[in-house]
Amino acid sequence: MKKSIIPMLAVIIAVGASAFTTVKNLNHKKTADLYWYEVTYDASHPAGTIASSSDFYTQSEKSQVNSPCDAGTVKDCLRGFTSALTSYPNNAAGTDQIKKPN
Amino acid sequence: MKTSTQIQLIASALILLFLITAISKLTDFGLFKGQMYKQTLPHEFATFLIWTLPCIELLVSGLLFFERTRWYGLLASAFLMVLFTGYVALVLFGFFSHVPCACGGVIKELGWKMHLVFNIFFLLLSFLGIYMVHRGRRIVGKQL
Repeated sequence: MKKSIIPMLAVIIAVGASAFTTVKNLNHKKTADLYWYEVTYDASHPAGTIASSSDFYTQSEKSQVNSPCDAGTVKDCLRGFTSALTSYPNNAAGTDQIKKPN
Repeated sequence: MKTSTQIQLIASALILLFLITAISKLTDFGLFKGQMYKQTLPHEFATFLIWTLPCIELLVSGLLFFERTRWYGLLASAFLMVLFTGYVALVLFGFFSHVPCACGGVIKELGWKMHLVFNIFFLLLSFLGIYMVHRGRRIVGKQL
């Protein structure tokens, strides 16, 4: 027991830090979770499309999404939907969007 | 400070690292999945890692926790850190066609360059732990 006291403290700190981070995330005012998909732009889809199921990024509320793009206002980086998409490619604008510069 | 205490501290630092990253992956699994698919890895391999990486990190933490398995934990830790550090280095040196998002887990605030420094630190810590345990075993062997 004595030999494991320092590693035990490490485990307690790790679990405590993880729990604190989870509680901190949960304490903010929660809005609806959306299914976020990455948007692809090409010659066939100048307005952007969600090409396939592998473009699924995360299911989360907008404020908790860690965008893979730089912040912007021009094009859609991610589009959020209230339910998972079932047909592809999908050109719908979605319930909400996270923008990128270009 | 006694060598055994130093080894415990090294193991504890590695436990802290692997446990926090494993728990963060498991508590926000959807986000973790999305982040893995954003990396420059084949899709099937990313899927494999999504399911095995947190388990491996928890296993290594367990091996490091107990004195009897600490040696194997340090070896596994060094092996994992070589892989992680190698991947980050390849990204930074332009091996891949594009730089994936620096969006991985707890360390997402660091960016790729600081992530490399962070990984090298824990890689060296793993090697130090291996060296200290190995040296301790040799001393005990000579005394017998």
